[in-house]
Amino acid sequence: MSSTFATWLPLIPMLVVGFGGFALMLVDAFSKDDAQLATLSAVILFAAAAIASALVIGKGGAPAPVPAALSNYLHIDSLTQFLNVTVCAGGGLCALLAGGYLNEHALERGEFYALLVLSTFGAQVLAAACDLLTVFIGLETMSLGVYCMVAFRRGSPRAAEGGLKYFLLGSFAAAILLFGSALLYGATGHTDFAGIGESVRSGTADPRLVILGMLMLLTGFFFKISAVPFHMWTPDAYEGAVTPATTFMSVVVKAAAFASMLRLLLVCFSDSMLGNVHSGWPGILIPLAAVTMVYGNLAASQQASVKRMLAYSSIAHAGYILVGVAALFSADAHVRQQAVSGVLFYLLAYTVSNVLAFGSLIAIGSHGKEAVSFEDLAGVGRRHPLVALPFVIGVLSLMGFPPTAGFLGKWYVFSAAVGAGSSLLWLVVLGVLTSVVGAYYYLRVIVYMFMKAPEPGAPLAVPMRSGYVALALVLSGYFVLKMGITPERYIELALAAAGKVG
Amino acid sequence: MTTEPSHLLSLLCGLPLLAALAVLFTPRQMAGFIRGFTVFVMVLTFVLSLRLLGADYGTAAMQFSERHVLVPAYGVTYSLGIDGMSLWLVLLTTFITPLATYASWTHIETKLKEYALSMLLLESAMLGAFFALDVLLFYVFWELMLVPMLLIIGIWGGVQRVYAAVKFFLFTMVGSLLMLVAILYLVQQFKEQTGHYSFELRELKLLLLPATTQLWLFSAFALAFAIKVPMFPVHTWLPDAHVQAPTGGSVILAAVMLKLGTYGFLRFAMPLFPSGSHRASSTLALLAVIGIIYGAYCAWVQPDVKKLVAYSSVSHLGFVMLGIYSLSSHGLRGSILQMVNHGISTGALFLLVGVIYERRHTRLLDDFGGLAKVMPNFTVIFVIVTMSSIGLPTTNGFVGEFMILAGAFMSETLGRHGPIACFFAATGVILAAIYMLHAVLKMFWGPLTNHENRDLPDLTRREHLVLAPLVALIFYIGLFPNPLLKPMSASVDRFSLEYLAKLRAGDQNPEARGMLQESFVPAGATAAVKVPDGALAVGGAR
Amino acid sequence: MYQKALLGIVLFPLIGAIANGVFGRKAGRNVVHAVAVLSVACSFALALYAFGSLLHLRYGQGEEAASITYTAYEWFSLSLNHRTLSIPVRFVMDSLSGVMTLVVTGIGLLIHIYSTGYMSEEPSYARFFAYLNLFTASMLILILGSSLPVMFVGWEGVGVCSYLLIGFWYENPNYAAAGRKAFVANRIGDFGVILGMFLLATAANSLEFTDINELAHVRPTQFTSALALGPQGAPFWVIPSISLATAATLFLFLGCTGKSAQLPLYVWLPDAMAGPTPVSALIHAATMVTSGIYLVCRLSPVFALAPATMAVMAIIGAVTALMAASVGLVQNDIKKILAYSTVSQLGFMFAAVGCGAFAAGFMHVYTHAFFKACLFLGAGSVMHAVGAHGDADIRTLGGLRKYMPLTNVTFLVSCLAIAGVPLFSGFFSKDEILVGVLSSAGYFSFAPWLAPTVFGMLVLGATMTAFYMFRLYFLTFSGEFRGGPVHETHAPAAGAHGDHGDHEDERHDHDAAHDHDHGHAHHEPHESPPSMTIPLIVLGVGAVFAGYVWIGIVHFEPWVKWLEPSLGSIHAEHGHATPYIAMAFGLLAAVVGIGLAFQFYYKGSEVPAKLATQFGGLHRLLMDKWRVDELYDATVLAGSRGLARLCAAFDKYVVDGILTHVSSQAVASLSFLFTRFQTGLVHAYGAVMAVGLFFVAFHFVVPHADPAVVGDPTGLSVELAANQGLGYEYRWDFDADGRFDTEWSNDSKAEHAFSDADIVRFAVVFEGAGYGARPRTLVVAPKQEIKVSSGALTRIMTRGELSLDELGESWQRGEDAAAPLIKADEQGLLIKPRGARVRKAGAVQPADAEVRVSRGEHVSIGEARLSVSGYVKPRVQVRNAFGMERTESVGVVVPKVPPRITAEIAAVQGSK
Repeated sequence: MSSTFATWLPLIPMLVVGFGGFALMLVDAFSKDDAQLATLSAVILFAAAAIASALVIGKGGAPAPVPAALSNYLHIDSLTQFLNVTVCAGGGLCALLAGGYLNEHALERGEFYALLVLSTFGAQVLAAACDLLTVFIGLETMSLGVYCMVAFRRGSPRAAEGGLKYFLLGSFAAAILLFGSALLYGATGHTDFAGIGESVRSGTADPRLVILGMLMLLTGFFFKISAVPFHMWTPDAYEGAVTPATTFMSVVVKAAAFASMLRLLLVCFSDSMLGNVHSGWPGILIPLAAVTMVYGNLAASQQASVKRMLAYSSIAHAGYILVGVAALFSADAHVRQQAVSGVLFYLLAYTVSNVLAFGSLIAIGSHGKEAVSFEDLAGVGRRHPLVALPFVIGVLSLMGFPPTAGFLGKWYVFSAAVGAGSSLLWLVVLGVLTSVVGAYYYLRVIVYMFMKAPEPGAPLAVPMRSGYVALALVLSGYFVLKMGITPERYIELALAAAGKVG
Repeated sequence: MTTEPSHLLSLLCGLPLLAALAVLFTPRQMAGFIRGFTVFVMVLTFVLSLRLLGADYGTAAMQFSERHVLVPAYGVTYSLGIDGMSLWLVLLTTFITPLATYASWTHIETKLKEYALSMLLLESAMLGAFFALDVLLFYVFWELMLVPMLLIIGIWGGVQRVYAAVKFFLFTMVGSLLMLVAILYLVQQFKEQTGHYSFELRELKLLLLPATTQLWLFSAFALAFAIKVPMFPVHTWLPDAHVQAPTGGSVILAAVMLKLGTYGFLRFAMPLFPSGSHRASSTLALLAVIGIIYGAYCAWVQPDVKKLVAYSSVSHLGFVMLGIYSLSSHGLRGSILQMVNHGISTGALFLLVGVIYERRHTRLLDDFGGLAKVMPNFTVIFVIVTMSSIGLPTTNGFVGEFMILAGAFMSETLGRHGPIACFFAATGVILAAIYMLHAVLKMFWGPLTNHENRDLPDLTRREHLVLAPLVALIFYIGLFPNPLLKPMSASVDRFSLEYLAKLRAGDQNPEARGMLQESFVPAGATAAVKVPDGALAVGGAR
Repeated sequence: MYQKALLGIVLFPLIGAIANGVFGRKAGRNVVHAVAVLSVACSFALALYAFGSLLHLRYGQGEEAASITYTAYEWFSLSLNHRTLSIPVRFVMDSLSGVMTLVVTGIGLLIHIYSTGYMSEEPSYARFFAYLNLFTASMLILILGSSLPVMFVGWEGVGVCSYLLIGFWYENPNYAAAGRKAFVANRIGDFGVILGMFLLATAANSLEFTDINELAHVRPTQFTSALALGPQGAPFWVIPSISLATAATLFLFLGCTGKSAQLPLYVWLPDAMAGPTPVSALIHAATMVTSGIYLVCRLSPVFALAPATMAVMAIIGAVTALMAASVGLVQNDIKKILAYSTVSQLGFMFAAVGCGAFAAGFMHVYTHAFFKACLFLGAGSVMHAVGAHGDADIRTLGGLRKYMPLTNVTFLVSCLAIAGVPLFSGFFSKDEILVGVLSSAGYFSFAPWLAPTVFGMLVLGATMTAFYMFRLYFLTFSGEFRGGPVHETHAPAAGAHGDHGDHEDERHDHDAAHDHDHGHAHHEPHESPPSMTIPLIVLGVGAVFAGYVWIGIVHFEPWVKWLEPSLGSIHAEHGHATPYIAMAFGLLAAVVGIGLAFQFYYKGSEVPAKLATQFGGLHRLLMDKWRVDELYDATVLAGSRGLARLCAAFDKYVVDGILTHVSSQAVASLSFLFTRFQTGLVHAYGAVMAVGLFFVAFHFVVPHADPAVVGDPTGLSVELAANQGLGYEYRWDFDADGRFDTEWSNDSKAEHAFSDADIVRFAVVFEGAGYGARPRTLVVAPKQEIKVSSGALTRIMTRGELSLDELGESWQRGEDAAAPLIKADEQGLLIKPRGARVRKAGAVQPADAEVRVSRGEHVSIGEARLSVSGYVKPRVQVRNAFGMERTESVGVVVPKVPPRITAEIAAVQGSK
């Protein structure tokens, strides 16, 4: 009895979120008066996060036993749990943001939270998936929710446009991914990662099918993490979506996709031939990372809309994370572990930092008047220092400026890349150079808030008064600084989560 | 190493930080309190910092050192310490900051609270950077300095403040980020040799890398520091920053921040990568000399006196860099002394310019003339500071410049090029006289033509209070430099010994990579040191 | 005990200066000048005391090189050749500095007294005396300083004081400019002093005068060795190959030309007359301007070792003397005439020391101090009398004899002295100078013409001096009074401009300058108050009798013997006739000069006017002082100002342009470009994704070979490896002959033992001299030659080229420095050493030998090391799963010769 319970234990975070999502729907359906759905969903997600973190702190990298029925499909190790924490925390914070935002802009409709929670569930599944099928299921569960959230603002054509684009291109990507899976199945006769990896290593599989399958699978993920040139949807979708949804996309979706990609590369394609820095997947990850960093930063540097700037900057950050992922080819297990943990740490750091930035942006607007352009920020630091301060911390962290979580994240990922050998060095150099450009556009936020006075006669942005947003800002701000100033705890967690990889 | 564990450095570094927190939660209405409190804390810091003099600088060992492991997994530590090389720079910092802040209170009306906040943060960041003995820690402090200075320039600065502030920020960022990459690479190499990570200078110093690798890593460090110094041709952020910054900002920037660049060379870039540094030495010496002359020429024709002083900084710090690269004992000591001198005299100059700017709201030389008539005391002090800045004997400027020039002239590493470098550097002495006296002539002598200058008030008590100690120091250091020079000697000699020893160790096999043993510098060795056999750890060489 | 006196001598004026500077503004005039005069008086008394004890030591104790030393404390220290070179604040009084101290304090005292009268109406009285005291202190530091740096403190100190005093009436922009001009000219000199100082320090390992001179006596070779500067083999016009002594003394002499107003830096002195007259007397006549000669005498032993410098000094001195005198002939302003006569007299002194007559030169310093100070003070008194502070045009004066008898007498004797009339002080020194010059012929063996030429110029100069001095005297004191200054102009021709503009300037200057003596521009000349006349009398007496120390009537020992211990000497012999020749010419000069002046200006004849009209051009040129200032303005000043503007513009547009604007523009435009992709059209998006997918696919479809060598091949057998990839196949072509030596295989690695036949090219690894020199690998084919270029200055070497720099300092044997011939053949390298020191297996090879270096061997040329290895370039062809093929090749060095060993380094370091 207890043993069976023990096997279900690792799944609790997922179950909590999954059932929580349905519960939310019911509540929404039956309670006509506006129940505090935001609170509810936030509670659900944070609970999941808490449990997950308890679990990840509990044990090392060894995969936990899960019910036999699921064991081929879901792989619950501390990496999964760490991602659970990240994803749920991200989701929870977004829920809080939504709690303030929707209500302020008269969009308060219950389904948003249900969607949010359910696609978080999808993200969890994706992160845990160790089989091509579960990968696809998780991915789609996550995406469907997001499609709806993007188009959530019914009246607005922008939202509709963004949602549609995201949906169309998303299905295109999903198709490619599915095709890739099919090829791999055809080549190896397996859908589970371990099996595929095994037959690739043994060399029984037809190399051509394997290669094509791999690159199609990867392409699917490149789309989700919006790596250049599969990023085209990002700016439109981000801008069109309601800001909490944007936040969700930029943190949760990205995190889950990266997690799954990590697992794929570690388990399926860890073969020395495929992982060869020149002829294997690193050979495409490296240039992709480079292009993504350059494109994202350069494009972001000239945006007039803060939201769009953050959209492009999220592309840039995908580039930085890809640098860490590329380091996985290293033959040195230490470096691989460093790379994985680096990516995990970065994802967590990026989640809190980005929530902080978007949250402050949300907080600055009110009563249907959102703050979108830099002009709207002019003089905010003067008028509302309490809203400006978190924004400053947020952008500094995104800039990778010590002592914030963002700096530690960059430091961690880049040191992994440097460890992986000279073939990534130039990538790291490129990374820091582009982040100088990044510094420029993040600085503009500070400049506008503190050093510019609003145009005479221009409507002044009035910050909203919302306990939810405030809470979100306080939480994320706290973690941004905590992870920046005393990172050792989190680094240990990330290392533990990375476990003994490969 | 001082035997009893001391937390003095943490205290010095933390005090302004705590005060900043306190200020943060003070209602902005209590302006008077904020003013007083800020200066009080800074003065307190200075008084405490005087205790640093208590230590024994007869040895090259780090004093007041503290060490806590921050991130065990990656060997990141919180380790602080000072020696003869950083002692005076630290004191300079704690000494100048209160003066600068106190002087600012006259013209900072708006956002006083934020100003106090920035100044306090700035001070603790600068002190941290001087104390840090862990490269990552140093990097953190190094970056931390940027934000307060960004705000100081960008919020309280002149017309083009935003441009200047952002330019300052980005220039510095380019260098420091590349330095970060170099740090990561260095640590990775260290791990490959020893099997464990460490960001501690003490350990990293022992790592021996192939000469070419060293050159690359050194270049990355050197760029970061050269931008800060600033050396030609990456100096162009300085004039803008100085001209736009408020007086207090300019003073801190010139007096302390620039020194962090030169200090960085001494503390990190050179000890870590001697071979790289040695290969770059002639280039850097050349750039330094160019900077001296070029800066002087640029200064000469500036219409804006503040810009003139800014360019003079480029020239002066050229001297410092030249002294460092002479690598001779007195060249190095002269450089460190000259850092302090420049802090004092240029700091004073910016204060004086601030004084006149507050009265006339212009800094154009053509708007002045004949001020000696109306502001005699101001004139006297300005002329004295000028004389110090052009290195007149019996003022502090002379000793530093003289030792630096002598160092370059008799330098072993520069060899036959030393005297040539010295020759051209010495022309800077002439040019300094030309541009500074040009400014003095335009401002103070001649008839009092401009009517707006007719009834300018002379220095106030506050201004006297701020300037007097600086003038006193100018003469004290000029006449009795030894009390400052003596404590440097041990550290400086140790520095050049280690540098040359590691250099030679590297040369015996340019491809060698490995760990040197703690004792790779034989005790009591002269500068012409030969590395004992087996200094290169067995199996280290790959 | 008496050592302490030295400190007092310096400190008293300093205290006076500080006291007056700080509290003077409040204190009353009496207090002020009491403090000032007393402080100098004390210092004079102490000087006498110290000098007395010096005499006692010398004649009581019979110490030959008697000197008094007081060490205050260690200022700072240098470290030279791993020995600390301490620089203490130390004062030394020996026979040389003793005399100088007396002169400075004595005359200083007189002039302080004089000033109390002369400056009585000056509003900023205290400031004046503070400066004057400060000057005295600095001057005394200059004289008593025991080492070059301490001397340098005074050296620059007097510079600053003169800057402040020239610009004393700062409200007149011209005066201020004159001050700056003086300071900058002096700074140029100081630059020379600093470098000279370092050069001497490197030679003598000390900066103390005594040590340096000592060494110059015992081990002159330390100084006469040629100095090694700059890059190897730099041509002479980059680094002239001269002896250390010559270089050092030339630099020091540059300093002297600045301080002592010689060509080319003399231009500041005439303008310096902008200062109050006592200042002109003290600083710009009696003391400061002579410190150049003082310095030369101080280091005379070293100077004596540098004939070239001596010659330069002699010529420049003579030319200056002549040129300044010629200008003096036609000037009409008292102070300007005196100024130029000062320059010219200084020229005499330099000509003297240049010819090795140090004692004579210094003698002239001493006598000149008396009569020139007296002349200036007399001029001051005259101007005071006619109410013209600043300047007085002698054409407006005359007949002052009867108004001011005292001034007249003293002025007259001084004129006689300067003209070199026998029995007056000037005669003795000038005569000795002429003797010295004549007898130096032997010393300048390389230029026999030099001594006679200089002698001639000096005689001519002396004649002119006599003439213009008496022109001045007659026009001022004889005849009838011509009504005093027209429109009370009292600004000298200040500023760096010719005379033409001046009168206008002056008029407008006058309004600006001190207005206080408007009221009493007396029209009836009158004798000056005793405070001014007494110093005149004292100095007048000095002007007459000072010379007698020479023949030892007054003094109890001839001058030369007295100075002997402190002065260096040159090998100078003169026939017994020489003194009489010199004296004859000297007398002739005086008589002719005075006679002419008497004819022209006492009798009053038309000749001068005629001459002026006849030689109009020359006259105007002289009036404009040869237009040297204009020349400098047009060339040096304009040039450097232009350069400054250029730099500023360059900084703004080029440096900052590139760093800031170009980069930001690049980012902006790229960003613009990228955002263009964001068309918003979903099918465009799809297309882009498709393209991306295609590129990703393409990467996998083309094979990546990237062959490389595994490890360092020690022998001829090499292990090669190409890139691994899923489904890759490989085949190798080791000898790169186009035919593949292996079949397709899955193994990415391959091992191959190369035969000598395979090796058709060589890798020559070249490790340059010195540590830190990076090894270079040159790939050479047979018949190919490695050029060894005489790398004059560092320049980029082409791939098949070596520079001599890299061979190290002592690369050649003997003097003949023909570069070695290095060429390759089938077996390896063939080296013909020729001039180079080529060592193979430790043995130095003969110059004409054909040294063969085959694979695996190495030789050293100079300090550099050449090692020869084979060089092969195997190829590999790769085929991937999609059947695509690709061929790449890799260069391999076989066998790699191990890098140079510690022993060799040690040897090299040792030989350095």
